[in-house]
Amino acid sequence: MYCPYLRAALTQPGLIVTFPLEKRFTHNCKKLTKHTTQFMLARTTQLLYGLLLFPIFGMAQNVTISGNIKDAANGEDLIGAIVTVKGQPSKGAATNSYGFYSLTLPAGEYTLLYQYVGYNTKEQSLTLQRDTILNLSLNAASKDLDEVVVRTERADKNISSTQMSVFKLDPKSIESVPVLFGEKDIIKTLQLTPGVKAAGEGNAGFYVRGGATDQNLILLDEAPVYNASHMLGFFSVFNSDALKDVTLYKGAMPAEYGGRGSSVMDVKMRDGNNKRLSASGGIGLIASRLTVEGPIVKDKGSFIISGRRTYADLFLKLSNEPRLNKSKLYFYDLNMKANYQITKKDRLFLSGYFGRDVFGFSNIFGFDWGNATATLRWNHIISNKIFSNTSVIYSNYNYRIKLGFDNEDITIKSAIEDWNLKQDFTFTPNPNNNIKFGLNIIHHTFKPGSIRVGENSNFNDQDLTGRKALEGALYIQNDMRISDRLGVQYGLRYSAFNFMGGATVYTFDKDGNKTSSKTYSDWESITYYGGWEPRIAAKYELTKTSSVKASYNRNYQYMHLLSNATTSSPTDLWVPSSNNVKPQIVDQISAGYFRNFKDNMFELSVEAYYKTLQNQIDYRNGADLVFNEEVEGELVYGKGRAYGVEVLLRKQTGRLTGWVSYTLSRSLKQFDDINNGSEFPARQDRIHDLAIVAMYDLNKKLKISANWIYYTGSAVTFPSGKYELNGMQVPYYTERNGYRMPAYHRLDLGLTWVTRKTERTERSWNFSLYNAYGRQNAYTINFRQNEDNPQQTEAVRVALFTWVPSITYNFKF
Amino acid sequence: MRKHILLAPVAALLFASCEKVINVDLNDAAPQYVVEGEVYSGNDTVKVHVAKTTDYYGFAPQQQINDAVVLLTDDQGNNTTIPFTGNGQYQLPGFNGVPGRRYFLKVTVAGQEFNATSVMPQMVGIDSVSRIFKEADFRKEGYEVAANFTDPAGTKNFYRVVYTINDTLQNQPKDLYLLNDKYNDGKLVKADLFRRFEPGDKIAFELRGMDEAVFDFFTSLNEMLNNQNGPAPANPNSNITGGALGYFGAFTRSIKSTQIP
Repeated sequence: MYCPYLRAALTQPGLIVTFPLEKRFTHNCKKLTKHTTQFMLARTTQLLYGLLLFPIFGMAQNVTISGNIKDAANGEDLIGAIVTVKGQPSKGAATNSYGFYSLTLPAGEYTLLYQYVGYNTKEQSLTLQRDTILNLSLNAASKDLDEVVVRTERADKNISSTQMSVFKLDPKSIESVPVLFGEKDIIKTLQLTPGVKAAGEGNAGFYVRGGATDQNLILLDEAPVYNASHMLGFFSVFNSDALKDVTLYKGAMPAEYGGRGSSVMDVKMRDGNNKRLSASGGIGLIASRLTVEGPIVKDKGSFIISGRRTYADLFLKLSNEPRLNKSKLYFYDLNMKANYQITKKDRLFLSGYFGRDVFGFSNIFGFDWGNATATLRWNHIISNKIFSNTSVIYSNYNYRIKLGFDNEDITIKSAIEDWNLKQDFTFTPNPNNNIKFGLNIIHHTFKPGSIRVGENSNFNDQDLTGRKALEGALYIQNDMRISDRLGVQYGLRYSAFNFMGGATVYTFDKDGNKTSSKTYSDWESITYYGGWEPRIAAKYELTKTSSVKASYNRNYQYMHLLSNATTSSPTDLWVPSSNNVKPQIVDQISAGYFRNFKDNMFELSVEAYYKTLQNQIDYRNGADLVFNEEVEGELVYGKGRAYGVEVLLRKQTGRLTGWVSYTLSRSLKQFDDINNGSEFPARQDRIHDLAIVAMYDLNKKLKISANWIYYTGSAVTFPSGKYELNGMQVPYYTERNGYRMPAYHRLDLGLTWVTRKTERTERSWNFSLYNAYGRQNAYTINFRQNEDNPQQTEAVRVALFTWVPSITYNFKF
Repeated sequence: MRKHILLAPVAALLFASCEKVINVDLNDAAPQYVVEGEVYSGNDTVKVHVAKTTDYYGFAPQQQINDAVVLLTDDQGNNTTIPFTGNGQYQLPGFNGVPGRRYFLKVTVAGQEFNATSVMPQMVGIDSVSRIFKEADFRKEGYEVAANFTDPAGTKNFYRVVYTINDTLQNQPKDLYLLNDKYNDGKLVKADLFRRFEPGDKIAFELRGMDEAVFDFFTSLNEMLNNQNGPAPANPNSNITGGALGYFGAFTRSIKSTQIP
């Protein structure tokens, strides 16, 4: 009965009919319906493919080879391992975050190359006639110097990948980089790369391409970490022993990521050894670490538990003074992960992180804070071309202050809590396209503060109004190879944020005075924001060893961190976008030149970027950000821009490894309410930034390393006059951030001595010296009255770390 | 919550920092007018000081302004000129400040006019000054001294505690002692000095009540002087219009003292 319609449809101009339709029409309409339906489906698919800019491929029979690539020694998934057809390097695929790859090729005979940096390449010859599953393990390349390192081909990802503005770090590769207190730290190491700046001496906070510290999306197994630092920011929450892989995107973020303006730091935890039970750890001056891992069922599932704890307070326990030995001062981290292969196509992962800082002085004062995250993931291979990952993620950050004095017993609490559902698909239709799409819904609960007091207290119980919000996103992206030389990665993300009740919200006049208030009931929408986030990047290979790349990305940020200190503080407050606070919008364009030398031994990249930032937040003078119901009245809004050039020369193989990083950049802000509306340098505006990181294998047992860092001092506000008030000398300030701190530089040295090394066991000593030539770098410069002669005013430089030695003993068995 | 003070011991325990007086090259800003005006409750002296800013490292005495016209009015229509008494000071003794009244200050100098207004809050008096002996802990043993007063319920109140020790006024930046009733509206407030005293010490407390704008000036002044780790220091929030630095406040004043036996 549909025949006339079909006929009409099929004879439309533009639809080329490739088989003798008319004949079939006359014969059997039923049969025709079947055929045309098939045809229509094929056509629709083709159209859809065309829409997605797919190259139309021939009708030759294609088969798909897929599987997992693992480390042969411990069964860890290898992320970003490459599978290519020998002799046809343009035909290839890379493993995703779970070690899964999918490569579709015309049926035939092939030799496939399986490659991963630092691992021996494996060749596999096979005849592909039907869809095939091939799981493989790669052996780490031996580091012994007397052995010949076999590597048939080197990774040229720097050149061939469309992704730019990215820095990937394997925690193993930085083991010998000298660090403060001997605590190796991925964030501190990333701070030595172009475009990434430490928020202060020894600080785990960082600025990426002129953005603020809260514009970094820090993910630990997909769970956002809200406060990534311990102990006033001198340590990050990441215990390197538990980590597999860290990728920092400074620009050209793939559409699967969103929620922060300036960067994505994607940290993946290790899965644990699925071959045998093993333990490793280290004993250092500040902290000790222990990791235990092993199979749940050999080759099917594994677990890892990794802990770290500082023990400065154990020395306090030795004190005879009862108030001191009852005091506490420590932090700890606990990472746990388990995975299990349920069926050939299904795998479950459960990972968690729990870390806390605890500080207490007798029972007079207690302060503790920390993050907790949990991720439950289900990997499912829908077909050999479609990979699905479903995650349920929980994230919590909170702090608690307890005060006890004069019969008072006061507890102050604050928390932020997320529940997050994420569904991601990877679809690899052919070697030239890798499509990712998915969605994400987060429920945020903000509990800015509550105070509870004991009976007969001289204080009142109090609660700040809570905040709730739903954040959602949909995305699709394709990483596509157009020709051997040209590749494009394009994607689109739609994000939305619904700020909702139950909450009381306020409006403010331009001076920050409250003008009205309104109370909303639970789930009632207060303010809705949403926006499209286009992401596009392109690569063109000039030669086999050089390429040019360019990208544009837009990022929306709906959550903002309020902080009244330059360094991170546990009481910094996350607030949602609301009727007063608009989402931050960051647009970035970047372009770069990439060149490898000497058979990929040296990688050079030069990138330039320009970035605009809308709806930036700053504070009114003397803003009260702590326990303030009307905190939004303390905020002022403006815009920013940042631009710069980054140069990175990296050497990843040989006895000498390391990199030289140089950044020339500016970061500027403009607020109507600050600096009379004129543009001023942001605090993170440091014009020159240079880091040299070098590691050298002296012999099998000894490895030396050194860092040298130099950067222009931060932009700061210093007084340009003074006056007397109430008998005090008061500095008089003119322009915001009109001065510079002195230039910062230091040298760190390290030595690793391997005392024993076999296939399974390892013992080593690590010695490091931070700030080896003892430069007194200014942490702050304070302006104050002279203590003896209050009429006289002076500038006082505070320097923190002048040569800090440390020693760590590491073991593995 | 003064979190930086709370966290300071952590930092001190872990890291011995190194302080040094250095020479920082600073610009010399064009001098700016500074007005400091105070009216007190009861029979007291109105004090106004007019001066200009100097270079930060300048040793020359501050430039005092001796030719200003200073006018104090209130919301009842009273009108008083405050006479010049020398060295940038304008003072009128025996002035009766009335709680609840709004006061206006107008300073005219070299064709420029600076205006400010401040409401004198209701009087809150010190109920008592207490002293308690404490054993040594991380501080040496001695007496803890506090001024006790009752915060009126249902209104926002803002206070500054000014104190003298053995008749010496404590007026360094670290002595700025500001309180509001954010956490303890309507409660008994115990304003203690975070230090210990010995027998013979004489401590006098003065509790000053003020309006929100003046309190805002002092909290931003305190933030600027005592928390230079803030994002960017800035001049305190003045309640004076016309471009002068400083403040004009109408304060209530209650004084009580004690001597450790």
